Amino acid sequence: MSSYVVCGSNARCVTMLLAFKSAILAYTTPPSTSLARHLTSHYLSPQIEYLKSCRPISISMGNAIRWLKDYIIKIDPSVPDSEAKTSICSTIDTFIRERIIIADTAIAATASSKIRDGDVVLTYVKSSIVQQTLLTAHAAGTRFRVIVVDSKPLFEGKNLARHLAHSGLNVTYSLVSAAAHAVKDATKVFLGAHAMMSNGRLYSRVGTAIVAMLAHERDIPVIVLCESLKFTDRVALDSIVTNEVAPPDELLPSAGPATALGQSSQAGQASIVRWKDVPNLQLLNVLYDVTPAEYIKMVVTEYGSLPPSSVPVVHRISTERDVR
Amino acid sequence: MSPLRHVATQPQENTFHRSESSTSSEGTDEREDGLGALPRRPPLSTSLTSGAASSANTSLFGLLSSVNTPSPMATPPAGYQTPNSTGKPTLTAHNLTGLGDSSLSYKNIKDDVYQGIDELLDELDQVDEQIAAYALDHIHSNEIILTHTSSQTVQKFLLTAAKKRKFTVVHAEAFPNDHDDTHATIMTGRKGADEESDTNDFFKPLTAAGITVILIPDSAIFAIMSRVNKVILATHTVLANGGLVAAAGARMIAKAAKMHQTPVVVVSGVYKLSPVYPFDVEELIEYGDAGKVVGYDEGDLVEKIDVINPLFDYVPADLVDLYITNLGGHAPSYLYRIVADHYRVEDINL
Repeated sequence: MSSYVVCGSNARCVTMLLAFKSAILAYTTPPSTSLARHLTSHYLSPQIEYLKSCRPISISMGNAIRWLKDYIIKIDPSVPDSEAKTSICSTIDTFIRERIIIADTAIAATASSKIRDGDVVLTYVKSSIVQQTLLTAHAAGTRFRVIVVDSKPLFEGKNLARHLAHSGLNVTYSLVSAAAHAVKDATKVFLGAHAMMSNGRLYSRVGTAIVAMLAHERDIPVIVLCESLKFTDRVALDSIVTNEVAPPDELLPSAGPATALGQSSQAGQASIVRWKDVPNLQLLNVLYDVTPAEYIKMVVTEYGSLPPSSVPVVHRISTERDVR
Repeated sequence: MSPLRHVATQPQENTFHRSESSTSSEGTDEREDGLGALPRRPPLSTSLTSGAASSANTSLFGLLSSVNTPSPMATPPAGYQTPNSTGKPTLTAHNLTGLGDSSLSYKNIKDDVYQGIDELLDELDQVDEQIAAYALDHIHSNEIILTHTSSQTVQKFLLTAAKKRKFTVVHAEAFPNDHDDTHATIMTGRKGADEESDTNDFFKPLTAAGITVILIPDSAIFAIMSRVNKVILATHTVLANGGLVAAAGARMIAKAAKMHQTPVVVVSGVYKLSPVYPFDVEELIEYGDAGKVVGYDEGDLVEKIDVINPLFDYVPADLVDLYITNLGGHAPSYLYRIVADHYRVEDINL
């Protein structure tokens, strides 16, 4: 995960859960204790710590872990190990299916029905759920155009653009510095989320706030597509109080897009890569930012469409359901 | 003195080609020699290609074409109602036919043109220092200042303040069009990697002056804005309504600053001021090489999608709080007066 091979909130969550499944299957309870007590604290926790040391876990991963621990604690100690393990694995499967896969299908269905013929949909970098929505709408025959705004250093939007273009959609691509131009033509903005905070703010890839702000300026509806798994109790007032900082060297131009002026980029490269030698110079590579709730018109979840102010309500409902 | 004579003839002084403006200018101006203060400047055209080096010849063409279109207004907008005090022969349509004969007037025109060009060059040399003189008024200790692109004007402004104050600069690299120059500016204090030994002191990078510089990608602008005290931007052009044509990304920076109630200061020399009103914003934006955004080596992607790479952004006047020019600080609403001081009506439509 730390090398961004698995990237994106949903992908990381699913991968983590599948990894847990195989870890649990390989587990045997030591004789002196029961599975319910031992599995979480002595077996899973070190794994989780290891994951955290590679890359801070996402909100969806955190929620999934909390749910899993809750489930394991409640396992009847009299149930034999093998049965317990199979039941854990099958609940994990159900969890993935319900909270992620089916949720995504429901969200895609709702959101794609909002796309009309002639729309110009703008999206920022790559969100799996936005991709699914756009492909669903395209498959349903709606004629629309997509603008993808991308950013450095991850350039995730390129993958989305590639995917959409291969499916036959008309795609325009630009970088976030050109976002003001890109929103000029847009009629709707679809954004993915890393998390929805309880004060209605969107915690998503850095640069999302810029796109939302520019769209809001032009009264273009900003629609966030987010599974309830990503809702959290936490609140954030700005992007600094809680964020993830990635290694600054990722900002250095390494194998960037080929430029016409190979010479000057070489020269520029040569100097900036030695940034560590320069005292007082720092590179800051934050991965997320917080978009104020005023910029968001609607959040589409598997429970339905709601305004950002309803996020804490839905979060309560979804966690109560699991606890039951 | 007839109005025709007043308007139509005086030598073309200011054809100036250092910046990317096109150099043809048509209004004939005469500066009152007594004033010797503000030379006229040709308006920056909307085509931002760098004009070929112009010389007295172009000005004469301007001279010729302007003679054929007498201005409807006898008097220019602002106070340059100067009589022809140098006693040069006037070029009327009648004289034009015998232009080759009037070699004397030709030489005099050339002298005036050269003089005008020299003054412009002097101004260009000094403009950054003059702007930097205001730096201490605006930058205070322990401020966090956000800036963008590799502008030397901004660098000098900040360096001057750095001599007396300690602050932090957050620098947004302007990827993909300016990031190499921005990196070079941060590392070495100048664009590009030339080794010319110029006045070394003035080209120190900010880090060497003890200022903490933090480089961020453009996407982090909104994220960082809640901690920024001031935004200092450079611009490509300043328009007559107080708006800017600045490097791509400036608009989102100014808007984010507005949302956070952070002051936006634009530093630019008066030479960047243009009498153009942005009736059609699209016309002002130049698009650059799409290959910088998505390299042509990613062929399968490139042939299926549209890639746009605008070089500039239009920033409306209400997003800017202050302009600092070599003439001092101004509100955006005051700029129309400066435009009127520097341009005549004929200059507006080339």
